[in-house]
Amino acid sequence: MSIEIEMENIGGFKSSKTFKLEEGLNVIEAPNAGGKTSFIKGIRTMLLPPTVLEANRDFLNILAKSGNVTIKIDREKYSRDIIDVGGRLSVSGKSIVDDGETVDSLCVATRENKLLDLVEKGESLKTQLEEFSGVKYYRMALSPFVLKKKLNQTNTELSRQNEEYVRLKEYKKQLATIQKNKEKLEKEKEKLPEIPKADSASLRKNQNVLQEKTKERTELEVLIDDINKNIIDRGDWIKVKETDIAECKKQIEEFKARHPNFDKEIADLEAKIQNLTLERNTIQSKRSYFVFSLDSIRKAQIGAAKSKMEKCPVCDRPLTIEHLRKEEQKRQREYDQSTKEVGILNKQIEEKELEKDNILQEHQRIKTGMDKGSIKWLDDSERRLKDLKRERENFIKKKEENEEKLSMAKKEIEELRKGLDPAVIDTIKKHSELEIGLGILESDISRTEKAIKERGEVGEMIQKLDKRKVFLTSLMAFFQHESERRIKEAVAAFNEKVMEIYKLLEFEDFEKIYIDDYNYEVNVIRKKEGRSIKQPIKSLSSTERESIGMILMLAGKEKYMPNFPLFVLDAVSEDYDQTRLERFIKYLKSKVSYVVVTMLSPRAKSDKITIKHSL
Amino acid sequence: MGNEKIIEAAQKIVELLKKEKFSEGKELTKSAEVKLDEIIESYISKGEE
Repeated sequence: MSIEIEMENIGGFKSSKTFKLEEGLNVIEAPNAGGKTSFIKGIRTMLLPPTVLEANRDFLNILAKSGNVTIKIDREKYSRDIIDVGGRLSVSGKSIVDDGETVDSLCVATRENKLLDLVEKGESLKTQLEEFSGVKYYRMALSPFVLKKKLNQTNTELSRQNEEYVRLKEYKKQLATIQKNKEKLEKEKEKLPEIPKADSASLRKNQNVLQEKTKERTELEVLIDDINKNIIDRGDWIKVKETDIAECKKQIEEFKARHPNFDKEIADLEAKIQNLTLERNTIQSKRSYFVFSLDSIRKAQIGAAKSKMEKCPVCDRPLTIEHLRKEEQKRQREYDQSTKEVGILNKQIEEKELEKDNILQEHQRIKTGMDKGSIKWLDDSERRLKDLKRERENFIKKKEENEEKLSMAKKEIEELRKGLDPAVIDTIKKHSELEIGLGILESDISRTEKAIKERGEVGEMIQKLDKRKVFLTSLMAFFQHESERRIKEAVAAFNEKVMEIYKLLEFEDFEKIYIDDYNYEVNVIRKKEGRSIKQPIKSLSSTERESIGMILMLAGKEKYMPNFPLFVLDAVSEDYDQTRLERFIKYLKSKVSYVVVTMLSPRAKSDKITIKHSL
Repeated sequence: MGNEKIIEAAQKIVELLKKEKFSEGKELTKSAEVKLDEIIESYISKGEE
């Protein structure tokens, strides 16, 4: 089995180069600037996600406009093209793995390796642990743009549906009242005497026309009354809408005034959070040193009592109990002060995170939300306001037309009344009023029934939204709990594997190497003169830090990428002594199918890049 | 709703975010949002079964 890699215009390569890796150890030898880093860049081109490659122009030869890498592994062929588009790279083709960034951090030991870099600087490994254990996606799910957004939408819809439910209850109450009124009118109608028949044919005709005209007049009066109500109603709505629109505009303007440069403000907040985190991590590291000092002083107190020590282990002054007590008090004060400062910084970080989240949420609500205060709501409301004004004008026009008709009907009725019995006229009027009244009530009933029917599913909808709310809340609680659990699990797994590998490599300098689960920093416990001394990683030598970084990479690979067949050890190996390097290679050969180690070729031997294979 | 359904749904959401190459501080695309709603709805109905 072998891996064939072909790369064109990658890194320092100006043309096409082909490499073949065999199972076992592959030593890439080349002089300085002979292509070792370019070879590794070719491999990383096939691992890293486009977003990372696009921002790193140096993956492509400085003189080239496009490049390509093709890898054949186990009959599978993967190919990727990179093109220079105005100084940025555009990438096409798939990575050979889904979690390319994790593989890059755990299987490609270069000077650019993120994990090695953090260990070298003695910084927190939290971001890397989140990346390896997939926690970063759990955190993203909780961001204001994913589940929080869904929960907010659900809550908004739920409160809308609850308002509809209140309306539904009001409609049901109204319906009962209307039905009662209708029954009352029907009873009144039953009691009303019949309209007596007139004696002559002409009077009978007049009586019939009067009956029709009276009905028409009552209808017109009811209609005008209804139109009046509509005019008042639209007037009220216009006032409310105008107030709401002014309020909404004010909210949007206020947001713009508060955040005139939104993108910059968010970037500044992110930078502030980063700085505060950095400051907190520095103080936390100092705190580890204070713990170490306190421990040393306390041990020295025992040593001094037994007259075994002559100099203070912290400041090298002559050792007296009095001096040690003062030093202990000083360190204790410094430790307490740093604990207080860490607490304050943690609070500030939390506050800034909250501030950022709130601004993002508000911005998103204004930009894409549907509720009051959003641009969409403002547009809809302004359209609705125009409609309302138009409707009001139409009603006023309709009222004028009907008032004219009413005045004509009244005149005609006056004419028709002449010669008719006043008692008959009164009965006709009462009949007409009752009929119209009943008609109105019937139309009210049908309108209310329709409104009730339209809200028929409100109860069901509320139940559904309640379930959605409960589900989203549980899901968010699970994501929160799971991110905390996973990161702790990652720390535990790393710590267990690190010591296992450390023993297999037969290294003996440290009693324990571990990542603490508070700051996620690496610490060691060193055995010295029969005592166990805790040391933060920063206090170790560069070679020790590099070895620990490598062991962490191997531990991570075993836990998160056990089946990835390749491990690349770049020029970092130049810092290892022969024994260490041999032990690492021996270990790698027992765990990985293809081990690639880059080496400086012996002087004047060759100026070309070569691969030596060995099982 | 059983915890296993929550775990399954969470897994699907994580897969979706990975597939969509979602990064922090960015909004989901419209199609990703539709898929997210589908996942949520399908697990709510599974909870009712």
